[in-house]
Amino acid sequence: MTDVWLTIVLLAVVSIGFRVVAPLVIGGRELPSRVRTALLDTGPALIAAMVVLLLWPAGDDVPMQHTLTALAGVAAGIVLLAARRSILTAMLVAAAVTALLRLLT
Amino acid sequence: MPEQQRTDRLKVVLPVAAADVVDGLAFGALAVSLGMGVVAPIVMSLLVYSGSAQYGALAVMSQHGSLGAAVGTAAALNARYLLMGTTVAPALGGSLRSRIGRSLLITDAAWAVAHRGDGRFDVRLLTLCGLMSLSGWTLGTAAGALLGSTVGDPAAFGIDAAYPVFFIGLLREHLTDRRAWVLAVVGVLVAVALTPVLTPGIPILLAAFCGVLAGAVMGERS
Repeated sequence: MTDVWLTIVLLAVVSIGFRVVAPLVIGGRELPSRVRTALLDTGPALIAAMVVLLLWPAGDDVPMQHTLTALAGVAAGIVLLAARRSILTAMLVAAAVTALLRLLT
Repeated sequence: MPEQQRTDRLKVVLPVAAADVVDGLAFGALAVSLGMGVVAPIVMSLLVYSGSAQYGALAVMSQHGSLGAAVGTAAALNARYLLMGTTVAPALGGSLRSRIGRSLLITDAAWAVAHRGDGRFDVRLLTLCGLMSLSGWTLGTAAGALLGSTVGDPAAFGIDAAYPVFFIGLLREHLTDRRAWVLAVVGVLVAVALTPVLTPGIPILLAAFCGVLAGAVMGERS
């Protein structure tokens, strides 16, 4: 087996393992209330951290213009979300603003 | 299921699937350009089903890194699924096959979409979002692998701006009280402080851990 295929197999084992282990062990049973409260507190922190990670430049070679245009699109999306517009509308506008700015710059 | 509810679910899930198609296109084209061939990236997307881990592994492989480094990077990036699986687990009843099948569909987007904010999960929505994302990601990868460099630059579509907005939109639904705001701020601060210095993926886990600590300091939920 080549390295590529071995990598794929090992990656698949890791990804599948992380996804299924807890549902297999806990599956359908209620957790103790302390654990439930702790897990509940992870939600907002986890989603907020994901936003930061998605906005962070993927490497040193990412042009500043790429990051700034993405931030401008995200800002437009946030304005719409704050105005209680739907997530879909905010996403489309964010992508359109970013795409337009990249076309123009 | 009422028609309105079905429409609402599709409204949330479709843009995620569309973004996954574009993201998959970019991944497939990049993987082919790095010499992976056409079939391997498609199989990878279908089995691994994790953009961050796949891009991470690709980055290591392109630098001629070791197998251990590629798998270690993917493990760090995917460790959050262990946490997500634990939060979803109580909602995943049913047969062994059903539990495994649904848990395989856990992704950032599917988990966040299905999270009802009070510890409950909409398992149907998790399944729908997971299936559509998997289809979009895998089909996008296949198209990208087949079209190769003719795909052009997917960044031109501005998808990288749409994804954060999606998660901010989901976060908006959770920010209903002071506790949630404090936890979100903790998540942001931890991620900003640690993302420049740690392997991607680890800051997310630590942000969640700090959320638990902050929750403990604030005391019981009212």
